Amino acid sequence: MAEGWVTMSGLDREVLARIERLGLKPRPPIYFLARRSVFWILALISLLLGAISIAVAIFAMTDLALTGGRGLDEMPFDDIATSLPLLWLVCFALFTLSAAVSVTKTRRGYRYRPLGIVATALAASLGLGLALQVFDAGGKTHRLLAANFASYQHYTYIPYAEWSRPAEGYLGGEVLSVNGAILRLRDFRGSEWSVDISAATNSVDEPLADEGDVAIRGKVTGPQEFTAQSIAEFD
Amino acid sequence: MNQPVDEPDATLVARTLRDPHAYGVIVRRFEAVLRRYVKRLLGSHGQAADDVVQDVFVKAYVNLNDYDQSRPLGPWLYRIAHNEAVSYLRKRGREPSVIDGEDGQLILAKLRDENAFGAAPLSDSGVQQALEGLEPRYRDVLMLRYVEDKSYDEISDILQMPPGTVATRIRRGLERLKSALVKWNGNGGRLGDYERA
Repeated sequence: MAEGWVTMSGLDREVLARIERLGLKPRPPIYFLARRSVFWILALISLLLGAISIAVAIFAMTDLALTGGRGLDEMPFDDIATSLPLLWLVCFALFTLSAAVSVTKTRRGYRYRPLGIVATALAASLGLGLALQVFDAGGKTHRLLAANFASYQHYTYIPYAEWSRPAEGYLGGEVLSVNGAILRLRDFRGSEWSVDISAATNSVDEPLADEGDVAIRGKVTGPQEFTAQSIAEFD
Repeated sequence: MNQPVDEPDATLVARTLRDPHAYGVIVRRFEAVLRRYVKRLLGSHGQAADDVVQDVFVKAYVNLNDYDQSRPLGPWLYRIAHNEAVSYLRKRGREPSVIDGEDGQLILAKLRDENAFGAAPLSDSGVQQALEGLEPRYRDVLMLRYVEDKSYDEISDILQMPPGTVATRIRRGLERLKSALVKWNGNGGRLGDYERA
């Protein structure tokens, strides 16, 4: 026998005989490629959906700021909490998790630390979401869903409840009249208010008397009396 | 049939995919280490090791195209062997085996070589008892590291976990082992309930 060569012995013979007897063949590479691709595709879809969730969340927050609340940079915590679109943030978290789990199921995914994968997926979704929002992807998704799904419309519809908390500084409703610095308003529950607007910043383009519904930030000063700090369109 | 024994794993796998008879070389190359590993995992079911190892090689053959040729073949086969042995035991409602006396001696020798426990007095029966008391996740990595002589990278491939986690488990496993041994020595050669938990 030449050096470096060996002959067949027990187990190898048995294994080869069994393979032959059962007619076994190696599964084709495409089988494994397809199986691995499933996880990569799932990871990519999850990242994309997470990014869209973030884009809609950004849209929802900025939209609230533009249509009634203060600017994001001057929002107190309760404003931010009100504007956070919980549904989309939950979606974002779930899709990020799904992307991370999918990556760990790929051929070499187990070699990466789970926390590192989650952090990378989180950063990727966030970055992609910000990039998508440059093209108003969040707004478009929001409008598309609102136009086609009643339940979504219900969830995202005009925030009457949020603007029916005068004690917390949120008063919304229909402008009945404007007389100098006093605005008469009927809130969404039907009560009438006398609102002092002398010191308020007004971001409504139209004359207030013609605007219809407005969103006012300020504070209660007496029974059915309110002093406004800012006035914005309500939609 | 004669075949070269020094052929690289990846070449051998590529050749097997063209000619199934070349698979005999792979079987011969790994049968001894896999049989020993499976036997160790099966413990009292060790007599089934040959059947399990045969299943391992058949399964590996069917999944040969899943083998990542940029990585060594050994850990890939170990992983299949580990899964097959665990699956065999689960079907019978058993846990993978604890380490026997011979393994205890092997580990003891390695720990002495590495001076892992400094001046702490070590005895093979103490090491074995302490190992039996370890949680399986620590015992698995210690066994692969000190009995099977696998690198962190190979253990990572076999147990499908990040190399950093392997390093952490080995470190923690050694710490627990050391703490159990100190108690073993101070307890007149007996482990407390905690170390056995």
